[in-house]
Amino acid sequence: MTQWEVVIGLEIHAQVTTQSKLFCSCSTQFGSTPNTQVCPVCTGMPGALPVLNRTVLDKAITLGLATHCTINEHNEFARKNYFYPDLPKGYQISQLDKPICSLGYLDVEVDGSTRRIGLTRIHMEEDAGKLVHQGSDNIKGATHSLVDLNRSSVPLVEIVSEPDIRSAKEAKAYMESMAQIVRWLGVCDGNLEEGSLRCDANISLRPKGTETLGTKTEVKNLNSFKSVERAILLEIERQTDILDEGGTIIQETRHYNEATNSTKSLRSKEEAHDYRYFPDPDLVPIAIDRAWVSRIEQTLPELPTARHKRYQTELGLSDYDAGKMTVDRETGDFFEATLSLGSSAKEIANWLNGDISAWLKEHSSTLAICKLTPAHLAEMLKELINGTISGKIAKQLVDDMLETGTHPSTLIKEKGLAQVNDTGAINQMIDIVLSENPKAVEDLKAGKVQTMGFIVGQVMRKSQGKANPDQVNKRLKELFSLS
Amino acid sequence: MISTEDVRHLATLSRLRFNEAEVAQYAKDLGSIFDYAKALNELPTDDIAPSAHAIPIENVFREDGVVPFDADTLLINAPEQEGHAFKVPQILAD
Repeated sequence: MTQWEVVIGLEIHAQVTTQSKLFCSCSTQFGSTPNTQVCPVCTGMPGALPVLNRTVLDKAITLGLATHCTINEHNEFARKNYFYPDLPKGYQISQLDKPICSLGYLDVEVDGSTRRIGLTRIHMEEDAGKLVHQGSDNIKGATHSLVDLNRSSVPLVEIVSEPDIRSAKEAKAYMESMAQIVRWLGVCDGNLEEGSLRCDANISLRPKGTETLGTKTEVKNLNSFKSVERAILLEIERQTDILDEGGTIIQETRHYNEATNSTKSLRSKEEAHDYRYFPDPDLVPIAIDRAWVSRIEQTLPELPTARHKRYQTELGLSDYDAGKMTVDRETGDFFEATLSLGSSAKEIANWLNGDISAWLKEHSSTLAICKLTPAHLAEMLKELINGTISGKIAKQLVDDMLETGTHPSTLIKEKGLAQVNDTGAINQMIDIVLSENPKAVEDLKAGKVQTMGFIVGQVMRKSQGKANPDQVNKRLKELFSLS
Repeated sequence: MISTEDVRHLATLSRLRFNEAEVAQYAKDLGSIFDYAKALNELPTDDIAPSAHAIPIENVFREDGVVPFDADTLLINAPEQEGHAFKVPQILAD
């Protein structure tokens, strides 16, 4: 039986993070009352003139530079003509043959090796409005539909990959990696739930070892990383079944349903796509000179992959820790800031990965909005290392710092959390515990080392976690001549 | 020359309905408009760079900032509305 090779290209639409829309000054705020963030431009009123939002251009260039694209000096906007109720002008303003970025790539880690996925282009375009179908949960059974144009003309970049992806797993890794980069750069907030990142996949199969591309289908509505992987697996299976039985693939668009994990052909009565693109006469051409590009190049932050490697080679972090510390920009910057205050990389990573991330998860919070600061964490780690507080108290302190934003020194003083290093006080507590546990004393005298843990625990309890456990251990060993 | 097929295709894309007589008439009318525009082909344009705009102008931008618009006035012309949304008829029939 023929062995099939999978060929996948992804088109990712990312909403560019801005205050206002692509061609007008309406807000891009998500979730507002329908049609409250609209004006004559984004509702397609006759005579209204679009004017380009410069920030979108800067961010598109930023993304292009970060993905090794050529930034094209000459840019034009074109009209893509089609009729649909979510498109008030009867055309979408997009870019056709003069896009902002061409020919880049993204290196993606899959199963421990690096795959280079080519980028055909990145272009700027406006989003359409939102349709809410009434009387049914899908468009076919609906009696009528409601149109909300708040999203109309919200700025997008469409990132088109080369057909370089060879599996569903690679597609998911590519999408995750792109999401990480656009977030890292502040180009897009990466919020999949609010539709800030959307993905369509072009999928085809060809006999292994051949070059000619097979007939492709386009699977739409991939709105989560999991959907990308699952929908592509489904489509590979569907196409394999057809081809194995000697059938042919029909070029079509298929809609993925996340709830049922199935795809369905979107048979549209629309004739074959005929968008009649032409340059938009309402918008003037854009000329981007070298100076403009270098200005943006200079503001480009160190990218997550580069930082990940640096953390391993320069700071000696494990691959896992380095990955966790570069998962997003806020974690990376928090880590860097704490590091610059003199804490050890490994200690910071342990706390951020452990207690801090657990607390944030439990409280549905993030490093950006919680009250913990790098300065406070660094101070707490200093107190821990120099023995002012015990590890147990440190855990309690981190929770308090996250909760209240209070400086750790204040907390230590106010709550009397400082570790007891005073030998006299510690010995006194040990004496009390021993007198309360004669059986344990017998065991210790008989050389049962494992009983020591119990006694240490009792002393820690009595001291409310403040006794220095090292000192308690040391004292017990002396008392009972244990080693 | 504009064929009757071209006119039918254009009509579909434009969501217009024509009878046979109209199709023939528009093929003729559009044909003569195209022929008229063809006069431009006689101009020597070998040394002229392709342009996307009628006048030599580039880089017109606005800074990113929100200026609210009284959106209620935009719904005044809606043929039908429901809540705060434009109401449109069924999009796809079964």
